[in-house]
Amino acid sequence: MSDVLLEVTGARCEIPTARGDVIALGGVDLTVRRGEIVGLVGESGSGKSTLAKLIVGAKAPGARISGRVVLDGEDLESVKPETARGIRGRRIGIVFQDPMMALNPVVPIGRQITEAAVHNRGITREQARAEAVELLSQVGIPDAASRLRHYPHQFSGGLRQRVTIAMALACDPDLLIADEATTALDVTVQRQILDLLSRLALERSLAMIMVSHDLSVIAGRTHTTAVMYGGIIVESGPTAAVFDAPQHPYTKALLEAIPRIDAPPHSRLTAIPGNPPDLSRLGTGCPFAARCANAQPDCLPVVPPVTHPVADRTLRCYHPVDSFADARKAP
Amino acid sequence: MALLEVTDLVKRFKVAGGTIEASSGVSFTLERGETLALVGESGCGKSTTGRAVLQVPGPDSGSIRLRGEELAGRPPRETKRQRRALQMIFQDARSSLNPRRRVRDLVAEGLIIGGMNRVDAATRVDAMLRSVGLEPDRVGERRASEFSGGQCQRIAIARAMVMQPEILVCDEPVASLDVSVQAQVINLLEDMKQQHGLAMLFISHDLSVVRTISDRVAVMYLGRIVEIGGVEEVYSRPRHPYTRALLDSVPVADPHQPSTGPALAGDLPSPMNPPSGCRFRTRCPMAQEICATAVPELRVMPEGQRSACHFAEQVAA
Repeated sequence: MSDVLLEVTGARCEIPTARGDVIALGGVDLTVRRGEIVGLVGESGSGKSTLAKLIVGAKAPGARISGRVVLDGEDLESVKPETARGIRGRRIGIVFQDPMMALNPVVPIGRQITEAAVHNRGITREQARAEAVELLSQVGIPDAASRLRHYPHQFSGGLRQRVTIAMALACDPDLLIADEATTALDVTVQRQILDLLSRLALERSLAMIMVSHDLSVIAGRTHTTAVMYGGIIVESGPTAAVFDAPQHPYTKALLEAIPRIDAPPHSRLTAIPGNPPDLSRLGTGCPFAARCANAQPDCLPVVPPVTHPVADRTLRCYHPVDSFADARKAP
Repeated sequence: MALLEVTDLVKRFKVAGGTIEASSGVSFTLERGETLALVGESGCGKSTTGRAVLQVPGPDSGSIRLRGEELAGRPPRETKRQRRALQMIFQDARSSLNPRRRVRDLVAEGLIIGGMNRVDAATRVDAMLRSVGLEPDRVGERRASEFSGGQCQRIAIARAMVMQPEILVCDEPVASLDVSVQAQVINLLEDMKQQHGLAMLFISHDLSVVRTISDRVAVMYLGRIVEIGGVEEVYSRPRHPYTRALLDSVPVADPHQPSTGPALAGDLPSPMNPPSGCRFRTRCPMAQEICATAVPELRVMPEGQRSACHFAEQVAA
């Protein structure tokens, strides 16, 4: 059994709109090992959610998708769509930002949790029910057996998100994708849910992709971090290395733009000028060039290729942070 | 005399099945040129309190004094002039601006309503657009719908600041902005404060943003202020178990510094039926019998802030 669980190569996603094609993903590679927690971080429109959805086989109407998704050695694009759907259903679970969008408001949660398990794993309703009670207690819902009959509106926001986590785990997946799963929650509840996800990943040797706009959420809870901007992964590597020594000017600027809870009051923030790019009007070249402090004329003709400055790190930049520092030191 | 003095502010809302006291006896003062943050989780009453100060809608009881003059309970006509010194910006700037109106008209609206002639207003508007970082000749004739969230927040800030307010109430002004743009808006608000000697009532759920921008902070829980004081004191030595839990829950963008302290258990109780005594006691790791019977009053702590906890002295450092 190989160490690699998921391998995405050359993922592209183009969505035709009235204003022209939106290039939501412009060629992305991503590898997730068994038991690895990968943080996918970026601002709105960076393509992080599109990538998560592409992995679970969901796409916007009319979107043109290309690239390979290999799950545990099986190429999901080369098998029949029904087969791919079955594999995804059993082996990948996903949790979204808004649990009310994921849950059917008029169906008791018990049936919603067991539905996929009955369908995908062919177990009986009774078996699935017993498992659902067990799952609900695992995700921290007290009095689980009696709550199976309850409807989503009878739960608080934090508990609802626990229900969708139980739903995502019902088929005992190898990979859990948490797409902004704590963004809508208050900070004390966010902490509870993040603790829960970390614990579940450890106990079940789950691999996890945590999609977030919030670098702080990613920092303490992932092994690997991939930073997205304008539809590509601009930088990736072990989380500590990426945060301690960012190579891409965007990662560095983003880290400097975060207000820090340990900084003295009225510390001036280092803002990034301009706005995130309009994906329907991406020009050629590096999508960050227009806002980048290191940008040079050679950034514009072609998007920088993926390079490996050191083992297990990737970078897409012609003028990374270090080279710029060296250039400035030179007389 | 404080610039703004809010005393025992109460605001109730009727909802299906009962009444919610969203703001339940809130008192604070705001000095000239000072930023006071109201911080707390959803449903704590921070926005209700901020809006009540501007009378949108006004409180059910309590006093709001601007330079000593009472605003609460008086008909809107009588307080029109005073209320001009209070301006507000919102979380969703895009929906706070009429998408079909031109930027110059949006920013001038308050001045025109106030009776200024169009020529004088236009001069003021263009100067203000420049000072929020927008080029009037480039953006002035465009419509609000053409701008991004961050740009719209700049326009909203210009629209508020052109009235030369003494107090700007900011309700989650950066909560829906991307990090890179959020920093631009925070810096702009700091500039406005410096240049115009502005006082700000800054409503936010984000403790990191609050730390960066505020001089003092009031932590709210279920309609009450549980701790209030200087940002340094409250953040470095919280004296309420809720403040402690909030600070422990904030994720830090440092992979070597995982979350500290135990996570807070449970969810917010129903605001329709808040716990007796201390409203935080149902989730408080330090709760004792007295917490269910006696409402804790705000008391002065050795560090200078005030805390409403019977056991404030025992809160973990």
